[in-house]
Amino acid sequence: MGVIAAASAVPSGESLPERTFEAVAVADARRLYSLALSILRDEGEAEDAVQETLLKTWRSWESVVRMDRPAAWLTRVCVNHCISRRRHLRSRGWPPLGLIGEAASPGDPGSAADRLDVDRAYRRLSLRQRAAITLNYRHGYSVEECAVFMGCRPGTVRAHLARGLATLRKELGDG
Amino acid sequence: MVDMDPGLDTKLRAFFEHIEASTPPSGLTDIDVAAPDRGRRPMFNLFAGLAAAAVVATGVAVFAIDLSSRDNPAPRPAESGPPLPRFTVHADSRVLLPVTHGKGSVTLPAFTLAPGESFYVQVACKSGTTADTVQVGQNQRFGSEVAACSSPTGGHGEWFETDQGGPSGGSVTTYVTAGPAVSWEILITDGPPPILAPPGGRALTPIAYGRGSDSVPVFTAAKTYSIALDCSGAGSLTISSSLSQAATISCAQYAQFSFTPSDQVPGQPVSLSVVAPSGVGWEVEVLEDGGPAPGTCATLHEEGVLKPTPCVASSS
Repeated sequence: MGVIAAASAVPSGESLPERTFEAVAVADARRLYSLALSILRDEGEAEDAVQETLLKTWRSWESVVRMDRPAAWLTRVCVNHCISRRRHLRSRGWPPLGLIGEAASPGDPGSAADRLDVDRAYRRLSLRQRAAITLNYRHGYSVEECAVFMGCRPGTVRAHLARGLATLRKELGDG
Repeated sequence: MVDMDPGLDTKLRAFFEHIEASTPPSGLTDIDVAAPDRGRRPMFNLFAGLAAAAVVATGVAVFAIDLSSRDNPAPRPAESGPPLPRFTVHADSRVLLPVTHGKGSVTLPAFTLAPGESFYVQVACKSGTTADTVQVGQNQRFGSEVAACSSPTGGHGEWFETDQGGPSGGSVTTYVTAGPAVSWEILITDGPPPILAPPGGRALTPIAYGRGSDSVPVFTAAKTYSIALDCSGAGSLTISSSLSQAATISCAQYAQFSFTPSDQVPGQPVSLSVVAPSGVGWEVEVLEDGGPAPGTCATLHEEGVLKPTPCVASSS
């Protein structure tokens, strides 16, 4: 398997010299991983999403390097991959083993148990509802920006937000 | 950014912080940049395409032969379906795609949306294999996914779709994608999604469902009450009580709001009437406690929460 370290030079001689693939895309991998993990709730799937995003970025590098906001493009590709690709989520519907062990272990049990409850409720949401909540609530993007990232209209994002939050309130008894 | 009630905000913040503290796998940025790019191999694509076309043609022929030997092609109506939950169609909704059972991947019959109309999708699935999912999309767009089909109770999901028919309305075709062993059930209706009660609200009456103009059953409240309502469809809706407090809201796409009439008399029977075009579906719930300040409306449009706003129309 080739690694990115071997491909750190930009593929086009016309690209901006300070914008290397590593500086733009690889440096953003951790943020993308958090984003993907928030939507997919599966570490393996999140890793796949980030790697697919990096691969697509590499192949489109001549265009990406000229963009004003390459991070926004990376976000869009990653979100689109998370919500559009057919996948099999092995752990969906059940909390990860780490969370179960954590909830059962002593030391701040209330907080861990809360997280377990939220995780269970969150997994009941559709991927698009999760994406809307992650992007809008957690990452602070506007509804219009979320719509761009998710490839739909703002009204659809609002609907996903409303229904997702309603489900969370219902499942968590917060309403 | 979405405005959130404090309890849920605290829990969600802790939840996301926990996710973001996760350590990414060490090989996260290892990608195989030398992997073949399908777009740069036209000859391979040509042969692959021809082979795929041959396989599809064979499949179609086999399927046609199989269909001709059956009386009951899939997808089929609900009578003999798998043991999945029964969906409910309330009086505020019109069925766009009747309850349909199927297995595997299927294209469902198209339905037509009126201009600005949205629809509500309910899906359930069941399978004996772990990690099976059902994906549902419309008009070549991925819609959403139902997971945990193999859990003891099966998987289920419901969501609201807007914008699919566009401003002029139009035909919508639904695609179900699932493994061949996955049984599923789907129902698509118009009308609003389930009502959102304001945080802290406690139901005083059962939810009333309706389309167009109608009245809501009389109720009597011992103390302050608020009214939660949601609606969808082209047009506006006006709700007024026998004590003359009124609110008007546009139901385009969909809207949810609640208001607390200022002219309440505890212990006195109240009747509510709704005036709306026949294509507008609505749900009304009367709640004790919770709700906005008396005389104001709380409207959900933009960010997924009910926010206090002036009622569009009111009379004394």
